[in-house]
Amino acid sequence: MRVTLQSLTTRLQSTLTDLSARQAQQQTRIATGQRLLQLSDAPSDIADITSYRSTIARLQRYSSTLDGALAEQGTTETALESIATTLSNVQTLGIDAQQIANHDKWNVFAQHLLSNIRAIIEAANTSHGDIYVLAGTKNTAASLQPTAPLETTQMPFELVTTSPTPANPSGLEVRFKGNTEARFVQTGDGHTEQVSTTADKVFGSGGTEVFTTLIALYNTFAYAPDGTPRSDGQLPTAEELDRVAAYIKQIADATTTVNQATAEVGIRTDRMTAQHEQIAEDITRQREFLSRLTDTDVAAATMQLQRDQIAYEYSLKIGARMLNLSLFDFLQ
Amino acid sequence: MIRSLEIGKRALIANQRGFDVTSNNIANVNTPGYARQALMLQPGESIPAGGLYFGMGVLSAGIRQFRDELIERDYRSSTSTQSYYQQEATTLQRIETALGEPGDQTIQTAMQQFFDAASQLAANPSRIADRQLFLARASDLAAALNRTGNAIESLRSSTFDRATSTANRINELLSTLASINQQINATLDASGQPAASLVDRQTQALQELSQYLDVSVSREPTGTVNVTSSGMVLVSLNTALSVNALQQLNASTGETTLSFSIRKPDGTTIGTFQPRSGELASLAKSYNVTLNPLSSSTEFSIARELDRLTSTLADRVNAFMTTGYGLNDTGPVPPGRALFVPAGGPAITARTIAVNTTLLADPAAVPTSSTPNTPGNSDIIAATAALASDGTFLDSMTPEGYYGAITAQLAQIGAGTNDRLTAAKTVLQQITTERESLSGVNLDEEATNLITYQRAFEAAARVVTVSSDMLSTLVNLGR
Repeated sequence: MRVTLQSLTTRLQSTLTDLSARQAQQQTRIATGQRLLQLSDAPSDIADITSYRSTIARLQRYSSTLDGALAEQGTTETALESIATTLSNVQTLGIDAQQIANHDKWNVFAQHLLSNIRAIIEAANTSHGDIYVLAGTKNTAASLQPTAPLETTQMPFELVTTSPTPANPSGLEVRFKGNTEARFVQTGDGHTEQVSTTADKVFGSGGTEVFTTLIALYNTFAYAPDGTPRSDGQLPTAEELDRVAAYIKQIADATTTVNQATAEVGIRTDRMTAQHEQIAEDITRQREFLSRLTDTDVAAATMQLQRDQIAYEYSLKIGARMLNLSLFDFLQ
Repeated sequence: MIRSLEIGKRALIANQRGFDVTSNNIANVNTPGYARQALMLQPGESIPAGGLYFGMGVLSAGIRQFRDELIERDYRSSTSTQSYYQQEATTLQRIETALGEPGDQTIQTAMQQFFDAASQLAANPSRIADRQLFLARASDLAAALNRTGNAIESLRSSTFDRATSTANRINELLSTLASINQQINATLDASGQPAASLVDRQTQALQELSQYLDVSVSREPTGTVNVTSSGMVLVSLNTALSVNALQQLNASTGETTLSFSIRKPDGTTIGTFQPRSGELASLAKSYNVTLNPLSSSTEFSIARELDRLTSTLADRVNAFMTTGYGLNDTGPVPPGRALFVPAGGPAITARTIAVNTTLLADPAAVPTSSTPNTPGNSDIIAATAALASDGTFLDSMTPEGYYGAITAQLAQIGAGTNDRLTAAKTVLQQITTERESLSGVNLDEEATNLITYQRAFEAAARVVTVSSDMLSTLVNLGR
């Protein structure tokens, strides 16, 4: 076969171009740490890579959602514990008031009770970020518009004073402006988790039942059976004592309800924490799978670069020698 | 004696011509399209004398070019195939660049961030900061789709420009070939052969033409060629037709396609043709299928798939959003606000998708709730976020899954094209080697020829000298 200068140079150029391109590819892989420089480098891996990336993003979304939900559970739990503690204090206060030695101090107990009611309302108005945790889905200040003239705040629970009646001589009343719809977040594929604790689960029907009891107890302490304010040293009647005992029982039940709600939050928190940890492990595992497909095997790439460099060097040497020699070099 | 002098003279002339041909070969060692030449020698006629026939030296019978039409045909065919796949690979690589794949700032990333923001908003639907983030991510997604859609449209537009400039170059080559045909007919040598330099130029023009088109060449005995492509005769003797790139609009579908018309020198169109191979065929395929958003072909179209993903995403999201309520909506009828709207076009496509400016101006208006005046209700935005993992979103895939399928398909086609390009390059290299083996100039060979002709010339000169001496001796006999 005849070998010509053109065929030699063309082949040499082609070889040098290919080797240069391969070296450039390996250098880019080492420099960027990415195995795939273009989609066609590994077409069979592209679907897996997209899938892993998508899964990681989804898991991170759930993880982030769980982060927020767990923070809200913490706030809710603190509020519920505060409410439960205050209700226990009210129980203690009621039991103390039943003591004969304290029968002449019901006015004082009334004031203590009122401050406890206000404390419970304050805890019930606990907010997480810009939402009120016990207000259902109507949980922002903007959505909690007060109805004038009695209501004045843009909070879900408000103690207002209405016209006194024989049944409610103080006229006190707790208004709930939120709703009892639960809020859910997606924490997994096809899996949602309730993040809110509704007011009816804490305070009974309508979210105000327990306050009715507390105000009834207050009215018993602060007002005589005829509806007039209790005078200093005025002793309770037997019927009033019976009522107080009944109210204490109802408050004890309410405390149990609040504790149950707190327990539910705790259980939910545990479940979410476990799920959060599971997701974190999944993310790590998926990242590892992704890394195997997308990241450069530096050792292999370095060795390949070395081989390409040697081939390039020898191609240059051989090419230079072959192109330099012809019969003309030996003609005198 | 006079006969010997004539023989010596003929030998001198023949070897000098041989030297010239060799010198020409050496001079053209790097000339593209050049085929080596050799002087064809033949013995001179025999003359009877004294009952015997004496040879009259050597004559130049002609100059032969080493070129095999079969190899040339294979070379042109392989060049056409290689150019087709080269152009395909270039287009696919530019599509990858338009998509930003493989990379971190892709449509997939923008979709993930959009669904992340939706998920975050679903957890805190009343938070204005999260609403702003959601809108920003929706805008980012729209911008990513716009960017890619526009890049693909720009690529399509530049494909047409490239087809036009390629057609112009084809027309120049066709004119050149017709002109060479004319020159060949006008300059045939004594043996009826064309000048070698014209054939070299003709070969070179045909080689370049085969990069752009699939060409078949029929050669006349005189050396002129008729050039045909996809059944259309483009050059016949000294007449060249012209190829013109045309954008044709289908009024009913709005689809524009690229086709090629054939025109006579007087400008009248005699028909259209679709090249089967070469750069022009690849450009036509890219324009009409791969980059065509309205392509009805069963073959892969990145523009069509991207528009399909975009419109489905917009439709699905809007279907939720238009039934929802914003923070300040009191109802009872939903205000019907869509998140995605078309900008600068009648329908939502990758190029036209935009975020509703009403929502951008008032994040509180983003419909997140299924009931009025319940800012904590996140049914609508949660359903939007859940689209991310909806396996029935499009063709039984999630949005990201569908996008992944598009990129995987692109990768498969790219890899297949690269493989075919590599194979075409190898074939072309083999044919080039074979062609070079026959037609190329070997310097060692030419150096040997130089010495051969030099020595023969020296010997012929010696014959003349000796003949002259002998003649001189004879002339001096009479003195």
